[in-house]
Amino acid sequence: MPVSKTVLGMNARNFLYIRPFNKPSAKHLADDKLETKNLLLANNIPTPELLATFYTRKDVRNFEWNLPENGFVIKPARGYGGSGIIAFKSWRNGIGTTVSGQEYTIQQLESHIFNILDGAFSLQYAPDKAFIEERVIQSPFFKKIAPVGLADIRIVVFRLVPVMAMMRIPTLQSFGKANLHLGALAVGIDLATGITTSATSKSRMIYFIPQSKKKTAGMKLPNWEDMLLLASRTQQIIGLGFAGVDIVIDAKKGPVILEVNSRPGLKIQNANLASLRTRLERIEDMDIPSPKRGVTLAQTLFAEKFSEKVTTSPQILPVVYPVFIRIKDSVKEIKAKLDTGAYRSSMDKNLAEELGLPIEKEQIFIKSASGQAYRPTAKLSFQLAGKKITSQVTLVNRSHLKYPMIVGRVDLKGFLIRPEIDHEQDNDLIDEVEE
Amino acid sequence: MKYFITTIVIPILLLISPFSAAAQTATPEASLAVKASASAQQSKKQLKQVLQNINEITNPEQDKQKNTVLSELQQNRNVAHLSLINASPFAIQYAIKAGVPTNTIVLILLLPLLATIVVAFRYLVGLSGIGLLVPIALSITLLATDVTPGFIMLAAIIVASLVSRFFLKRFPIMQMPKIALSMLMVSIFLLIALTISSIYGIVDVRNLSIFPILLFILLSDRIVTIFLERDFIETIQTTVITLFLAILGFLLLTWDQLRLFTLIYPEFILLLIPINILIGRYFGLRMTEYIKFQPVLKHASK
Repeated sequence: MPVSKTVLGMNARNFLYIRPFNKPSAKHLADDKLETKNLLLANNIPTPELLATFYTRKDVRNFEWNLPENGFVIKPARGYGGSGIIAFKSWRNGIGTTVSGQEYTIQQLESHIFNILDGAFSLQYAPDKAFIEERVIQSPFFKKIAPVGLADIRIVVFRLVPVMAMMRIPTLQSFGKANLHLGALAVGIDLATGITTSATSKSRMIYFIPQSKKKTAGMKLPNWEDMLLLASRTQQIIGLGFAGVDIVIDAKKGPVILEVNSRPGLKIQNANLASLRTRLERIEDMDIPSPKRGVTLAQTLFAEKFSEKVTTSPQILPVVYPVFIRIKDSVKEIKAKLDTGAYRSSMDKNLAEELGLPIEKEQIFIKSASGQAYRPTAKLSFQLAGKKITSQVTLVNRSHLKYPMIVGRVDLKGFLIRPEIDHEQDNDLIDEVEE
Repeated sequence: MKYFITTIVIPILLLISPFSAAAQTATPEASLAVKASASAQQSKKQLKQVLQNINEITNPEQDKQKNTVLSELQQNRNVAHLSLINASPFAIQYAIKAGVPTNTIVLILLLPLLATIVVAFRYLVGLSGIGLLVPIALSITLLATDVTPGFIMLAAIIVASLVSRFFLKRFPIMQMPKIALSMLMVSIFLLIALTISSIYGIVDVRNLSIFPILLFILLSDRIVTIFLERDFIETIQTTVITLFLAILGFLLLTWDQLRLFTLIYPEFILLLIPINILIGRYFGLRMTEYIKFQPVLKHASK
């Protein structure tokens, strides 16, 4: 079947894709962030947790204002163009500090929510609902790429098949918002591998991220397949045929759905240097049975040429690598040794106590070069190179060793270890007792 | 497929009739060439006089003027015998005889043309003003008030809308009271503008009909609603585009040749059917999108 090579314009998008594939009821649902969120939660799709909802003025007056100290976000359900959203980075003694440093008292927050309910931020000033959700803490991977604001990933999904994706990186010019109109960067992503390709900002090609001077091409996003599957499942649940799914990566939860758009913008084509229309026409008359099949199809059909050369095989890590452990509200970084010689991961006893890990009653029998012993264990979940690992670690006194933690074979699934030692890492490794 | 049939068959049907009508009138004219050219020149002069009264669309024309127009029309397209080909000019001339003012007929027939132009600007060029109604209504109001007072009042309304947007955008009251307040602003600005132009003798306010002024104030409702929803740059963009479309419409409505053509060949209005169907099925890029998608288009051509 011949497919059109032209770029997808507004006329074609509205008439050929939105009108036939997005039913009014589904559009209405996607336009309401609160309803979308409830539906996603009911279907076990990860999304920032809902802390409070306000349907009437009475709800606001009865609210206790017990909010998490490390921040939250207030949103109108049907806000127009991102207006009315306030993100707080801290909440102490009834005073909230926004991400940009402004302070709000409870009274000011109440009046903001009243404004939302009156429809100050919705189209046609229709009465609205307000809600408070937990704040997404950007994962360390994105913090390096996007030092200002929260970067997000937009995946356009058409009838269960992800057709195009881009990462939106906020800049100083866009006031830390991932809004392309304001001058945020749009970075194209190869669907097969999750590696970034070209980038544009305001219809101009960009090669470096302005703040961090990093190259825009060649970054590999973590958990790429999970994100594609998540986007496809979200599209299925919301019931839109043609949807733009916005995903952010939380340091603790991994990819979470932020919102779903029933009229996805077309500038994504500039970021990917590819026509959406060609891709949509290719899959228009196919019936895809499941999101999983849709993702496989997308990765096969819409792979960039270079993806053939990329081995999607394990990520290669050096011997010493930081591990992130999340305890309650803070993230702790620990230098760990990735040790393929060890079967289990083990951790310094003192550190485990310091972190407050619950020690399991059951002890594990360990055989090592230095003898055999029963060791106490603890349940621990940590993040290694963007991958969340939940494991049972053995506890031992490592205070005489350089690295307080060893990551063993069971937890290194999906990684390869580069054996040579980096210059920055000292030769002290030799002193380590092999287990 | 059915779209292609409609788009091809209708224009053919339409184009046949004026051409055959032209052929009909051409033969007798050729034999009486000398006589005709002399009388034609005379009647053209008369016609120009008639068409000069165009701007007073609120006043019906006099009998004398009506007769000149009628005779001119008959000269161009004789409708003594009603047939399939000349049904529409027959109907027009019949209406004029029955006492419908020619100005009214022209305006009614040209409105769909203005609407089509607004549509074409949106879907082919990519410039959209404030809906369909506002640009068309503005051009008619401009026509009704004459050029100078029309533009003075239009400027007063745009400035008043911008000022009320500035004050009301963040003002925490509900939508309708905001619009009512902006209407107050518009009324005050209009009154000031009219008084000042009356003092300096720019506008003869006594001859100004109240209805176009009221229409201006009512249109400001739609204008302010759009202004309050958009950010500043978008507001300026839509204003400029709306004004451009309104002025374009005004120029078309005052274009004598077009007005005469509409009266002689009224069936050309039916051409708008295939044109609108074609625009409605145009799924290519709008002109502004060629700029917006420069990176992809450049890449694709490599």
